Amino acid sequence: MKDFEIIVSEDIKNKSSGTDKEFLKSHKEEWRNALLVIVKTVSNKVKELDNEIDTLRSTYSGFEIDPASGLDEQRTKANRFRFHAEKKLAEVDRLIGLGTETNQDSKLIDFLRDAISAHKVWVLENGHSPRKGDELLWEALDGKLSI
Amino acid sequence: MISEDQFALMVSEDIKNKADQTTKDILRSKDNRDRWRQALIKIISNVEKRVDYLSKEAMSLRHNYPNFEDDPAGSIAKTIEKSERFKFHAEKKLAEVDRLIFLKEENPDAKLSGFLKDAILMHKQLKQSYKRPADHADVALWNAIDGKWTF
Repeated sequence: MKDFEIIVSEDIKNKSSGTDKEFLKSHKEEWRNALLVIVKTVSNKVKELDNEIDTLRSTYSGFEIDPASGLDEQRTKANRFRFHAEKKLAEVDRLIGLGTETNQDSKLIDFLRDAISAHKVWVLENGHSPRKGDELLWEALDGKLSI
Repeated sequence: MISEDQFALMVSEDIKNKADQTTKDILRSKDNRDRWRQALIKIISNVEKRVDYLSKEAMSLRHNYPNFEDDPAGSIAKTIEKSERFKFHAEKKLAEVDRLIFLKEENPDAKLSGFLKDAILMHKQLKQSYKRPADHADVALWNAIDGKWTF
């Protein structure tokens, strides 16, 4: 594994230093690509484990102890790792999309506010003419709810 | 709607205090409290069953191999200890959600989140009622309600 991938992986596990976090934020595209590879690799691993677990359990169905307990534990860990990798992917996508700083401790309110802002940016940048519903939605950023 | 597996994972990571703030806020939002509570009850029950099963396993191993210098059920004992600790924290979360449900508590941030969530839901309803096709930004916006960023 290369150094960059190790940093990305440690960051997913929330074990990276402040310097590493800053380093990742200054290499957003590479960070995003590494995360995409990780999510894809882990998803494939989970699929493989699903198949292996099914095969083991059906082959040794008479076992008193679960013959696939070790693999099942691996799958749980892989699912958990993917969950956090996807959160990081969402974080870097927000950073790239909005071009502003976000942090992992951002609250749901900031997340929803960013989503509405990103919606507005996307509609305007792609040359779509905003509908009434879009404009009313964007007004919610100023605390108005007139839909 | 957050899938069952995804929701269970969110609850589990929150128990271990490894969930990010957005996930924590989603679980604690009024709409998800009952679902969060049910998930916790299920987790606690599963852990209890697992501890029970592992305790019997450990007893049987110790009974069958009494002359071992090291505890033959050492690794099982460690797993039991971890499970007990996990259950302890799950019960703390259950107490928290029970309190939130009972007191109908909501902090100012949660009220504002609820307001933005309502605005997004109304945008979705409006779009669908006019039978307008949803574009990429609309779908990504609606996904944000479940804490997913897909822009």
